[in-house]
This record gives sequence, structure tokens and C-alpha cells, in this order.
Amino acid sequence: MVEQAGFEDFEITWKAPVFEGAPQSSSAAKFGTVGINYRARKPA
Amino acid sequence: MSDASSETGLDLDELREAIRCEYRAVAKEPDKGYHFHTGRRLAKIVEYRDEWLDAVPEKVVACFAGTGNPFSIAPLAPGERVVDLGCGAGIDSFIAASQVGESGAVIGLDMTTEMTEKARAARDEAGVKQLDFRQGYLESIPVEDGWADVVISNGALNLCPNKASAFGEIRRVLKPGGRIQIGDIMVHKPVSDSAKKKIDLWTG
Repeated sequence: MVEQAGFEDFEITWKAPVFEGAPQSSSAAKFGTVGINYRARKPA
Repeated sequence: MSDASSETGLDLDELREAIRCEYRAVAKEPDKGYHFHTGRRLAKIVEYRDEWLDAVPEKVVACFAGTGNPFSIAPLAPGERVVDLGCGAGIDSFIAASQVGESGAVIGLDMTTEMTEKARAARDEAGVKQLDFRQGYLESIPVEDGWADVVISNGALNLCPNKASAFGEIRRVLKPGGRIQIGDIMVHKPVSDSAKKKIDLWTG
């Protein structure tokens, strides 16, 4: 999606199970959902 | 069907109202307990540094509901212009404002009235002049073309029903060579088309 939008140098820099232990149950575990950080750049 | 709802087939107004309802509750009762962590506990999980949070009013920290850490990717430089998409009560906008300083500028954007009002009140109380909060949608960012050096976001793009439009808008507001530093979510299991149409799965 990010590269399709015309960005370059896309990189996921971090992943973590940020929903684990949340006060209410969620669909996160069902779908294997994790938090991520990513970066990219608009071409110069 | 509007273009903004075409990616999912969902009723756009219904989805947005469900999301607003969830984050209206966070703005009013941040400690109530949700399907995601909030506040300082969450900030610790996603590795925010204590010195960053020193720049943020406590009532803003309490409403933090992100999924990552845009600042761990790279620090922002003094004088940079930043757009924070889905800023909520403004935690990342405040941190960005402290990093870019008074020679820079930060625009926080959120669609939830209660969050935007909370962010503006905190900004006025703290007297952060380089920080502006606007209300609107990621698919129609109220910022001029080529204004931003950096677009940040944290846990908001996954709630946007038309991501192609949102990324087109991000590209529009960035300068050539501008960068995105985004916290969001990733799913490791397939999500069926029928599941994508369940609004309760978008919000929970």
C-alpha cells in the first residue's frame, strides 16, 4: 500500500504485541495483530 | 457509494461514528479500560522515553491510545514542519512540538471533536505556539500541498476505511523528499471480506 502510493525506502522498523494484557479482550489475538513502526520517503 | 467507502463496502458514516464513539469515551474516561492499553502504561510498552513525556500535559498522556512509536524511527529536527494524523488528545503532537521547537510547526489532525477540544485546551494551557490542532479526515487532510517535512501517525491509519486516499493525501502534503514515520498495526492472519465489513472488528 505504501509503495503503491509512490513512497520509497519503506521499512518496518519494529513489531510488538501491544494489545497483550489489555483490560478488555479484543480481536487482536484472533488475527495475530501486532503494533508496528514503519518509515518511508516521498521521492525527491 | 462514495469513493471513501469503496475499499471495504462499509457505510462510511456508520464506521466513522463507531470509531468516534470509541475515542470519545477515551477522551472522557481514559482509565475506564479498553481493548487496548492507554496512557503511561501504553507509553512504556511502546518504548516512549520519559524525557519525551516531560513535554506533554498529564491529561494528554492519559488519553494516549497509539500502537507504536513514530519517534523511535528517527528524531525530528529543529525547524521541521510536522503533520500528526489521528492525533487524538495530542501526545505525539506535543512531543513533536518539543523536538522541532519554536522555529518549527506541528499540525495535529483528528476527526473526534472531544479529542480535538481536549488537545486545543491543553495546548492553550501549556502555551505551545508552534502547535495547531485541526479537525478532519485522513482522506482529506486540511493542509496545503508540500507543507510538511514529516508526517507522523500512531494507531490511526488502520481505522481509515480508504487507505489509498489517505496515502495519496499524505504524499500531497509532504515536500519532495519528505518522510513518514508511522506507528500502526499489522495482522498475521488472513482477514476475510466478511470480517472487514464488521464494524465491531474495526473498533475492537
